[in-house]
Amino acid sequence: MKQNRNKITNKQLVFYIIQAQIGVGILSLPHDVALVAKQDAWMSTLLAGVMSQVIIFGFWGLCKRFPSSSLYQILPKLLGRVIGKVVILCYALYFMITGSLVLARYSDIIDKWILPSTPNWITMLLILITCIYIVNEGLTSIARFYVLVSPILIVLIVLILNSMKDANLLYLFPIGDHSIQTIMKGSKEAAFSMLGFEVFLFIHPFVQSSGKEKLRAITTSNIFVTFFYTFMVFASLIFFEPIRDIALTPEPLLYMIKAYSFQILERTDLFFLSLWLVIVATSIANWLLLSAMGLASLVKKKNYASFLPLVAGINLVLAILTDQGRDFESFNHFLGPTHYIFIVIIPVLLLILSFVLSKKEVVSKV
Amino acid sequence: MKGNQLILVLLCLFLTGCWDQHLMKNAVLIQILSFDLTPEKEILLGVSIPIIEESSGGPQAPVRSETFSATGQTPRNSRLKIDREISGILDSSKNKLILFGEKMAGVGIYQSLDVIWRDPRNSLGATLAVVEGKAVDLLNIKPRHEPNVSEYIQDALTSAEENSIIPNQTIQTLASEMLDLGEDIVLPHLTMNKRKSAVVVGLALMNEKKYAGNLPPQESTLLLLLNNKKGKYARFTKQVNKDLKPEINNYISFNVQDMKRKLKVYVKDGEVSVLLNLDLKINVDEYPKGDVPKEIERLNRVLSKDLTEDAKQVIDKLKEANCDAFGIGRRLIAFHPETWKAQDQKEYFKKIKFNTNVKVEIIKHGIVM
Repeated sequence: MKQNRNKITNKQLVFYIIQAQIGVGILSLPHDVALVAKQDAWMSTLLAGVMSQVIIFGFWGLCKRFPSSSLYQILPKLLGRVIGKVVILCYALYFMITGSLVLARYSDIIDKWILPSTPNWITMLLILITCIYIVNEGLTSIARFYVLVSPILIVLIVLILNSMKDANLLYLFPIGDHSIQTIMKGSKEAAFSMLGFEVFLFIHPFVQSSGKEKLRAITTSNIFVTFFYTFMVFASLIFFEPIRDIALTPEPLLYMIKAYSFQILERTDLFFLSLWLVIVATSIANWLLLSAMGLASLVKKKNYASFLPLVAGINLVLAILTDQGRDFESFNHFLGPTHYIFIVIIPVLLLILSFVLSKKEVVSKV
Repeated sequence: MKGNQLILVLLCLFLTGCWDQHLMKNAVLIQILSFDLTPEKEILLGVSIPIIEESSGGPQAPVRSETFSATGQTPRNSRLKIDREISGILDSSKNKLILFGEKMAGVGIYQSLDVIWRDPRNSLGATLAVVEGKAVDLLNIKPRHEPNVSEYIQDALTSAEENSIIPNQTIQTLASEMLDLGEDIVLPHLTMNKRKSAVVVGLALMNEKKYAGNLPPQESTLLLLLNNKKGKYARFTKQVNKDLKPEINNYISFNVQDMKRKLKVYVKDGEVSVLLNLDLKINVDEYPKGDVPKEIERLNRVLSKDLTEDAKQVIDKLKEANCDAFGIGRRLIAFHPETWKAQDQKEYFKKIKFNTNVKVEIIKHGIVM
């Protein structure tokens, strides 16, 4: 009974990863990518999706060798107790910092677009309380909640489609005018928004399905997210002049929606933002969960819930410290290489190590 | 249970949003903004605000409007001055229209719009227009049948939009076109006539961000057709006969029912030429001479020739104003990037050769012959 409570199904895994991937970055993604790759930004986005798929295969390979251990359990097995614990701590801190950055970006947008005079710590505190509440209830509840809120993504697509009536397809041409290097550079920008699929490393033991099904699930979510993002970037590229206008607009999607009003609904961007809040909450909750899980496994506690307030508190402090828009740059700069280390290099090294040491979990009964 | 109650109380305290409330009772909604340039190069900002009067028995309270204006270095600066003059807080979130005086438009409209794009509370659904003379004067007119100037001008613009005299556009859709090097915008052109009412007198042609010329109503309709931006109706009146008595028999009025536009850009040895074909299927509204079917061949021919001439004239005027309303430059960027780089990116439009043809075909002539 107790074990069943924390299991999720394969379908829930799909939505879980979609919600973890799509987060705060979605609003500014078209701007960030278009700054580098101009009208070819949509290719960069697709490319970022392909790259994350490659990483996903790596993840899956690692998880296949340890079907019932999360990364936090794999680490000490492969690296030994001491180094393993150090790396776990690093992971927990990394997730904490990423979560703080997401939180800071969220409050920055809320501050700019809706609540300019409300103190930022209030909006942060409110969303953190909500996230603690979501995460506190265990994986099954989190997954159920994520499935429940997924239709919001369709609403976002519809709202964007509505503004497509004033789009100009000519802005996309000439296609492929930029070199492969430029497009690659653009996909580096897009990659930050793709993050979130690493949650698979930590929750895969709780999914009730075979290895192949898991791979199919995570691939489905990655394909969905890639196309979702590519659509958003594509839409902004044909709506805004891709060299000068989009460079002036940090949140192109909001602008697109703001320009239209319906018969009974004006300032559609406010409506959009309130839906977007939920999307952000799901990704903040995700990072909260990962970080708390890491801390819990550090002290060998089964239940991570008691660490949630601590993690959230650190998140809040870090986010308030970097609240000024200018700090994001340096924050991002610092986080850039760390993403590669924690998402790409360490898991791949672990995979190689597990082959070299030929360490593998003995499958007793699944 | 106790804990929950505590949380409820806390939520009530937290979720009121008291920092960012904007109460309607304190707000003074701006319905039109106008920008003018004073001789001292300062900005004269005019705002039209609605005043709701006490209902005099009827179900709806009559609304009239009041105009305030002030000068300043920037639009925000002027607005602050107006804000000090009126009771309440000026709120431009429901603004529907932005008018530019001719002088201001001649200097450039982009700079004064910055504040509107920058502030999230502003409405991006507003339309822009250029006014002959001073824009603030247009806010001061007292139309007889509609005491609210804002409603009045907007209705005038809406009907002009339906009649394809001006295009349907908002400040956000214009932003991209204005910033695009390979495309220019056209704006509604308004004027105040002797009886102090506002008239749409066609289109103001913009060169990049500056006012550079204008088109009268019939030609503006033709431009919109050539640009594939037909509204609900597109009506013309043309002379097709000579010396008939009474004079009214010389004319035909028609509405464009259906249209097809073909625009192709050719590049040969670095020279750009454009093939612009317009196929109009028209519905005769008025032909006092009568019997359209008998003359249909001739009418088609005469109207085609006439409109082709007009189209050429429209394009000449565009060239004179250096207003690339068709976005030929954007097509060059898109499909002939090398040619575009070799072009003078400011004056390219003047050098483009146009091959324009308008073909008219009468398909309907009402319920009489």
